[in-house]
Amino acid sequence: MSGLHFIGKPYPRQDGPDKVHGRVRYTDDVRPAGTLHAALLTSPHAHARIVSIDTRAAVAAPGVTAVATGEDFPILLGIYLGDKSPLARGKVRQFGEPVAAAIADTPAEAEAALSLIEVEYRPLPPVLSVREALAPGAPLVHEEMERYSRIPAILPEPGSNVANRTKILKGDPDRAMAEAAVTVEQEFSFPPGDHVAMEPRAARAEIRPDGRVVIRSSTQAPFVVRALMSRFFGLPPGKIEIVAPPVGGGFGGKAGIQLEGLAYLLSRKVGGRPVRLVNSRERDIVSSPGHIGMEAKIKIGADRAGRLTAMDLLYLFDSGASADYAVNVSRAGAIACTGPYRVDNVRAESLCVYTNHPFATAYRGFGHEVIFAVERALDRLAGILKIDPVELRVRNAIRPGDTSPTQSRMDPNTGDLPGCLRRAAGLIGWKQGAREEVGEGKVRARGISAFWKAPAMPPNADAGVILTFNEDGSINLNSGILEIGSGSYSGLAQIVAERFRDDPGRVHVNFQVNTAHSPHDWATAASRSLFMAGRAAIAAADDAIARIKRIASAPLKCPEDDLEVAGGRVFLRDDPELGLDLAEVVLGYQYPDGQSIGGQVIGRGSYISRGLTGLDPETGEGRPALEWTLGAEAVTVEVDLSDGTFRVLEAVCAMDVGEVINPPLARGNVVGSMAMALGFATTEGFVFDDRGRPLNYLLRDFKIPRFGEHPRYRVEFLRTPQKDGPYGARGLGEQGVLGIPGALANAVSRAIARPIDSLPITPEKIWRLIREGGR
Amino acid sequence: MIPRNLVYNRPETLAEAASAFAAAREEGLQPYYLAGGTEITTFARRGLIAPGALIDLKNVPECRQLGREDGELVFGAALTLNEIVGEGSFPLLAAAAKIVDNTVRNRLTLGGNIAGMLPYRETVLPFLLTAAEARLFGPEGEREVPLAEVFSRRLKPGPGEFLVQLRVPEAEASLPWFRRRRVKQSRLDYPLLTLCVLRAGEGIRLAVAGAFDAPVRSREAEEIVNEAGAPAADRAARAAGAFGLRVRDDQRASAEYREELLRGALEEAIRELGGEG
Amino acid sequence: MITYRGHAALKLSVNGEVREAVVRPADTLLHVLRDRLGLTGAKAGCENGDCGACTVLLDGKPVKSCMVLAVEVEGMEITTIEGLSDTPVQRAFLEEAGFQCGFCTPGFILNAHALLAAHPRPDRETIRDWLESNLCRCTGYEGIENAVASASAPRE
Repeated sequence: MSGLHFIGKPYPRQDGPDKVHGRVRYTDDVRPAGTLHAALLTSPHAHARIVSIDTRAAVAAPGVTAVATGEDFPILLGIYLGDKSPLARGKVRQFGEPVAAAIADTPAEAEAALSLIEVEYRPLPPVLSVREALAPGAPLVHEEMERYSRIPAILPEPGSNVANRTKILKGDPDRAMAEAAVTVEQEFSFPPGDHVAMEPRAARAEIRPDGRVVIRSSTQAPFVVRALMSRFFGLPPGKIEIVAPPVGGGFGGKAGIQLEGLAYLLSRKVGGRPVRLVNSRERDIVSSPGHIGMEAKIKIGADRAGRLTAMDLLYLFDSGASADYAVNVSRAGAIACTGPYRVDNVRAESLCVYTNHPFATAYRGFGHEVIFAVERALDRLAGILKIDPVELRVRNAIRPGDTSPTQSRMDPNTGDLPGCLRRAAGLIGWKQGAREEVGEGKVRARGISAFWKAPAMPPNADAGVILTFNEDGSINLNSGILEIGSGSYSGLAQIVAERFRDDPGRVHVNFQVNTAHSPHDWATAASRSLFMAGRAAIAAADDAIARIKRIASAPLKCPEDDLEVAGGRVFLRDDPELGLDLAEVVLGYQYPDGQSIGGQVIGRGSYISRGLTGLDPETGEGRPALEWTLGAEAVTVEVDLSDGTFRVLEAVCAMDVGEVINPPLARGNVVGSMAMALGFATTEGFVFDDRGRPLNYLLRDFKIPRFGEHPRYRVEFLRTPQKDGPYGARGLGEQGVLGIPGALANAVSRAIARPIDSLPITPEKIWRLIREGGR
Repeated sequence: MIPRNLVYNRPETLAEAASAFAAAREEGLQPYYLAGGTEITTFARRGLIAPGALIDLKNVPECRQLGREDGELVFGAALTLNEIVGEGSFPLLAAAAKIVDNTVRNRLTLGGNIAGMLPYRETVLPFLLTAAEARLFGPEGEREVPLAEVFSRRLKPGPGEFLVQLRVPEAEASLPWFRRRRVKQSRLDYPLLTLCVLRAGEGIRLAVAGAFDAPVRSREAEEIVNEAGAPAADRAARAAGAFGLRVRDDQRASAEYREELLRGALEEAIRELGGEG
Repeated sequence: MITYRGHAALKLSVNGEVREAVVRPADTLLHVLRDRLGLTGAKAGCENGDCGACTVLLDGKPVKSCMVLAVEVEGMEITTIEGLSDTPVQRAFLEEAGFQCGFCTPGFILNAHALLAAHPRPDRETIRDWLESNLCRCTGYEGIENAVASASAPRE
């Protein structure tokens, strides 16, 4: 965009100096005296009845104030479906499920007390996969599903392990598939995994004598926490204060309600005294929720020219022991089920299934990982029809005017997917050849994948911004979004600065959110914070500017419409010398004789999603998506055919984001998400024993990418404006994770000439495939 | 954080260390010798051990000795792995010590790696390939024995004894060497397999960690590898199966894949040091 | 021979100052820094030696303070992130987007600072050797790599 002074520029982040000097106070960096410490005893079984719990010795242990079990808190919590006891009651449904809590004067005493708690379990047959969960006669993970509270949009099936089922029916898929010239049918899968944010989840709760509940937490969604606590504990929202400092990485894992509910209950158990509950890394990986798993069976049909005519999709999501966000993740998978392609005939069923695995919550990408299955099928189709994989995707790319799986029309804001595909192909050097032998038994290959994502959020998701002013005319920016690492606040400061046509350094960002003072915000998730808070920031800035002009028009004796605000002044457009410093106006204007007018300027802005609807229960028809961000990613991989070892040499992303508010921040976000996806696709994923217990929940064993393993990254942004976005910007925080798994699997499959249809991709898996292929 | 408190002792002589260990025993405390502390702290945090007393060996000079003495290279058990990596007199040991990560190597010690709780013990491999001697100290005082006498799958010191030093004949330390370490994927990981090789006058000596449930030197495998005339690939395949131990099968890799990597590493070693037959 | 049992009053040299703390022998250096001395820059990311968020310098060398007992480091010079102010490494991290959420940042900066003190112009393998000790989940390491390269560039 031309004519902009601060949008599209690399302004330094305001939280930078604190971060590089270690001065940011994350949730557990504040430890007031008198805080008690809680430690959690967790289940060693994936599925078992709790026969008895004897806490007497623990209660008597040194320093211990109280010990709690599930019987102390007979309540079920959940975001959409109330299926989770804060401490297990009756039975445990996953390895690592919290069973008891010890509260003591010091962390060491709390931890030491745990070994004095005696729990007797009667193991039950564990449900080890979604297939097992859906088989007739499968053990039920939740026997009393019909008693659970739920929101209307979620449709659990009591008497089964299905927590939600979303259906898509568009066109006439049976006929179209029968008439297709060529079909591809295949199964795909990936196991559950984890976010592994660097900051483990932490919460501190207390109840004040006036009944006020104050919780400090590492949350991405303080207002969700407040709303859920109000609903479940019968507390007035105005008496719940969620204090949310900057977060040490969220990635969706700190949205929803995490440790806050249990921390509150533990505080209540000890008379409202402050109780600190912080995850060890092991509890953060296995007891707190992680990344959902999936098994998919899909069939796609096309004509001879490679145009997709039909898709029949079955997505089975492994939600684990509890539904949490997963029932919405599976729904989002249905909404996005075809990938970013024009398909006129679609049948899809997306199920959220209970198993005895660690439970899942929101994770960057939120169900749009289904793209992995479609992208692998497309490469197969390309091979059968002998069409270039990039061309095949371009040919089928969804365009403005086409409809999504929910029959919602793609509007003119829709990004240029063919452009993204061509750019990604260009960046990866696709024309140099998709596969080449490079000597010493090594093969280099390229793979490409498109992706898309819309925010999966309630139709009334909203954001707000309040601007207040200081004596020198500078601006304070308050919003309800959290700084989780993406630097959205820098973007907001630049937006406000652009409105005021003054340096972003004059916009002071408040990084701490408190539900008692901050404007409401749905959650810092779903790649919509900058979009929605950005719109609210524009509204707040314009509101403040209007008020400034109203106040200034009196001493300047002119119509408000003749005034401009820029460079820290308000002045006459046609005689700029005539004006006032903002410092003279923002806290009211005082005449020379002392009389004051106007009062302080407070800029208010809000934004609420518009036009969003639910889904028809049989066809999925509806408009759930605020906006879609589309793109393409590609990788170059080098594989050693003798032992399956491989290196990702380069990973590229071309994404249509409209305007880029802050280019280095946008790039950093996308590179980070690509890195996260490479980990998901290669070294991560739970490995389970035959009793459903994860073997690799220690960070020592759950390997995430390390320095030095990273490939060369290339990122390019395309610029189709999002007309209702702030300065034409579109969300981008998650999308970078979505194309990498498919691109990598496509590249490796090409390299070894064997299909890889499950993640993670490991050297041993490649080695076995090569051996079985009889090379 | 370690839930149970403990008694910490910082002796300055070998005798002080041994008697502090014995005194803790008398007191009914479970004593551990402490060197780098990387295992003790993390295992105690997770409740896998419950040390009652720690005897810190880092201030006992003999345990930190590094240098040449009487034609031998002396490696104190409380030397950090980075101190060993940075010291050039025994190149195979310097290579074998390049494990964990650089920061942890500033604390993890030779003795901790060899005599600790994790089963890999990669830094013992170079010593197994030489006529190394172990110097130990205990209630009966000091003794020096061939390493092979006190190390079989793991170090087996007498009651209350601890490893003070390992000593290697200088000549053997500078023999031609080869080391290959294979992992599941991440460079920083326990080994699927570590192969250490020296080529002496009489032929190749080899020792393996990670592939089996303990580090091992196999004379049978060496015999096969040193056969004149047979092709390298053939010798490697037969040697891989000659250890007489079950190959490890775990969350990181199957036995089959480990065996494949072992075969490959042996072949590489033969080509590099033994010459293609 | 020094023996500590129960609780001990320990003198530690931290960032050039002598600080006194009452500690259990079982207390890790990480906990003493955070809970007794208010130096919360070092983080409890895993307490297992795997993530490096607890990294501090001991006599100039990076160590993972979650694996060090406070009683072990009497007489040694401890440097935490609070002891570094506006150093070339810190400025480079600011300029090159070497951080996002910031949780891993103090550990990385201390490690990089020590690296450049030991190797003013490190090659790629040395940089990798040192920095792979620390995990970052946000940046994908590109910004960190650029920051360290920038901080180790030869002066004009």
